[in-house]
Amino acid sequence: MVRYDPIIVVGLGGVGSHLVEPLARYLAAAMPEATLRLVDGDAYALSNLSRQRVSQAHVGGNKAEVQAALLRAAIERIKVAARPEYVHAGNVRDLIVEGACVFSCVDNHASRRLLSDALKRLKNGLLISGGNELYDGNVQVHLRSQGKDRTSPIEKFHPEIEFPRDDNPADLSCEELARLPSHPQVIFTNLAAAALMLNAFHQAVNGGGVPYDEVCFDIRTNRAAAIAR
Amino acid sequence: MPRIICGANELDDANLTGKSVDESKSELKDVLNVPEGALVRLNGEEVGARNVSLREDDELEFVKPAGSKG
Repeated sequence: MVRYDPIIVVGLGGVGSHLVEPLARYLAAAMPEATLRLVDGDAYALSNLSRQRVSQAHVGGNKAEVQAALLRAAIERIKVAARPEYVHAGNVRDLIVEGACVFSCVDNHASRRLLSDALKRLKNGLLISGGNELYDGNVQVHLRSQGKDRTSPIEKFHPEIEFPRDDNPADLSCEELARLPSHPQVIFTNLAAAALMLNAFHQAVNGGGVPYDEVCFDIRTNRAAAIAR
Repeated sequence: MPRIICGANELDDANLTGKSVDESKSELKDVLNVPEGALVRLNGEEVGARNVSLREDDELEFVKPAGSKG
């Protein structure tokens, strides 16, 4: 078994809020020494309740802190820490440290690029990046070991990540954040992304590597395809 | 027969043998939900010229852009 520590989940919204509980249960059983770090600068809003794993009592609470509290209450042996901030150029090197596994569940390509650049500095590390549209999405996996890329950096086949046209929320004012357009999403698409990200983690930890760069899925055709480039 | 991939979806279509990348894209745009501006890879290599004709055993991938939301 390959052991990553810390395990970092960036973004606790549509994908991240569903991913953390099964991840934490797995870690408590299989890697109890690992620390789970939850990172998000956003707070839960009423509009999140239809898709994200929270209740009305959590509205207004920071997403990382709410999920950390939920995990502590539900899972006895979990070591979990919350960082109530967005990932940005000033904190990413402090967060993404040697031996880390990062689950990127963010909603913008600017943050994905930042996380990818941080992972590329590591000798050993794993970045699992998920994203979705209304009914489909994909998961990219960048595995580094012994200073070498075992799979491709997440932006290699994705110019939209390499040259992001959106903004990192850390760079926006509260007014600009409030004005960001919201797009309709389906909870089942979020769940599909979360499940495939966890599958990639399991394979990296137990399978000695990941034999693909990306998994694409579509909930309308109920298909998922792993692609090695 | 050529295999065409876009995201999770793929199909094998003998009728595409001899057709260009662009022709194949317009025929399959709706079937495979090929997005505008998708990166095109033929047998693992990025394709610059879209008038390249498909051969019997070619694999043509329209790379679906990464999902932006999470």
